[in-house]
Amino acid sequence: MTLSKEQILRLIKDRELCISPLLEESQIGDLTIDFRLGTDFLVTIHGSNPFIDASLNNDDKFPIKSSFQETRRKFGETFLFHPNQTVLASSLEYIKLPKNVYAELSMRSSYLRLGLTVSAIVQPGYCGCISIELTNVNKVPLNLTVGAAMLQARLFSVTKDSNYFFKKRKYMCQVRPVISAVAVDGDFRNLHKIWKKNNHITS
Amino acid sequence: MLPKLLELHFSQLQSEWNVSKYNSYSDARKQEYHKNLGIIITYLESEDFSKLDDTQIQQRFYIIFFVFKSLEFLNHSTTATIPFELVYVLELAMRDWAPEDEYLIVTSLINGMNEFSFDNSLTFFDLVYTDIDLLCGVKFKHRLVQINLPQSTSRDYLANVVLYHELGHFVEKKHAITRVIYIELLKALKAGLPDADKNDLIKYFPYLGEAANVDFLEKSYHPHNIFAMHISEYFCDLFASQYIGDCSNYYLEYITLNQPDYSSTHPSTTNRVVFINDHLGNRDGYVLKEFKRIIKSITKLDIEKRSKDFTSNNFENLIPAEVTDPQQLHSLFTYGWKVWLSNWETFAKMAGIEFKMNSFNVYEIVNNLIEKSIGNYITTKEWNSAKA
Repeated sequence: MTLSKEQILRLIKDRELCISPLLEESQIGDLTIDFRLGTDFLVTIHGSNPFIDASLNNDDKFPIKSSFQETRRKFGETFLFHPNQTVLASSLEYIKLPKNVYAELSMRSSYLRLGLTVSAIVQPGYCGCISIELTNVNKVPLNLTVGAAMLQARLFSVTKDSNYFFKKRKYMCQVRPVISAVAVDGDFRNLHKIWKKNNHITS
Repeated sequence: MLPKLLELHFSQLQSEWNVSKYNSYSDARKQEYHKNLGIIITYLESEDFSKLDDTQIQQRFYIIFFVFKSLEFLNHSTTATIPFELVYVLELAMRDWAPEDEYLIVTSLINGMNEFSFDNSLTFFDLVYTDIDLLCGVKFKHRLVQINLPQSTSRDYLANVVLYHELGHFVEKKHAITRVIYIELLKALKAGLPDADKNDLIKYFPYLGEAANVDFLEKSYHPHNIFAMHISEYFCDLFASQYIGDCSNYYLEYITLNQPDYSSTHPSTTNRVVFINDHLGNRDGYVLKEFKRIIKSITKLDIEKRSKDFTSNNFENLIPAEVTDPQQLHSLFTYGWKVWLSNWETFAKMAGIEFKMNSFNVYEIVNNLIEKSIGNYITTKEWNSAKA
């Protein structure tokens, strides 16, 4: 069920939902909450690594971290976003979702029209700033303002509570974007073993 | 100095200027400072150094040094990576002790563990500002102060409490506090102190038990002699405790391995911890009383608690603290240390964390929440003032 404005406001009042800072109550619309662009960015760079390695088959010789550079802007400053660039950003707002509510994130239409795309789901009980993986599919650079309401989220309630922290999490209370932790996914260890076995690699 | 050597020094500056001439700063105050450096360089370019006498050469040498150092400060100061939340809180503390518009804080991340400092090398160089004004007609509205912090722990708000101590060095130099305490304590000791007061003095400065040392120190003040250095360190600890209570003791004990002996530059950690604990526990002995009296007489300000405590269990609920008063910002460090030193199992239970947290999990949570709490305060304040 999609949560309405009244339901969202009640959750905030009851301290079950945290959105901090909520600079304007008008960010909460009839069915959506507007989120603002945060101050921190991880930008892909052309470093010495030949590629971004989403596998364990190269003995971690090409760490993902080497392909990203951190940069910060103050509130109100701008960030120049180049065509076809992938940028990891985060929402200005820190959120904590109730255990029975998840969020679906999309770009506000004014920014979709500029050629920006985003798509993400935030799990029930999540706490932290929302990580945003942005891509500029436009052919021209975009100058984005930190603090601008670029994103919107719809909140959905589910029938069963789930505790986000019932298992170890890769990201805890993140306030800045973080590098993909794809390489620590448990599946990769198995896939790596299969690859070694199939290729008769014993070392 | 040979004029040719000055030419060499200036050529190095010109080479640096070729790179940084077109620097652009979002802060208009930095841009103005940068423009002033350009005027000075243009003036120096018009001079024939071979016609200068020794005094003039020396004067130009210091001006070139000043421009070089200024560029170094400005070039390395960038918001691209700097934890501006931390800088904001330090600026807030600085304003209690120095006029808001006089100093421009720049920041640099240093590649070295424990490299915390406030670089004041341009701050109190009064003569060079006068020379620049007389020679080039340039008046600087702001003086640069650089905060240096280790790159590796730049987001470590537990370790960064040390910067409050470093800010103390800036304040102590600005008001020449050490020198006055130095003179007054020695004068009182020579005039004869009651036993209890004398013992208290010797407890913190053991070498003052020797009459010969007292005579030597009295005749030869130098900011780098042992007594001056120790006074300065005690002052900075006292200064920091106004904002962060006893938090700096924890980190101090860790980085010094709780050193029981004094060195030529620092008192023993044991004594430093006792000094602060006595102050915070309202157990002022002679030395503490004298420090406070002299500081008040110089600065007109009391050594007092300058942070505002707040009750919150937000961190335990994994959300940022709601800070409404700027003085509460300093208390975030105390709150962070409280969580760090607490029982993590209890913390996890309150936070609804079912897996076994390790120290790195707590480290991440505490630092993230402190940073976001400060950030939220700044953002909200700026937003509301822009709307007003």
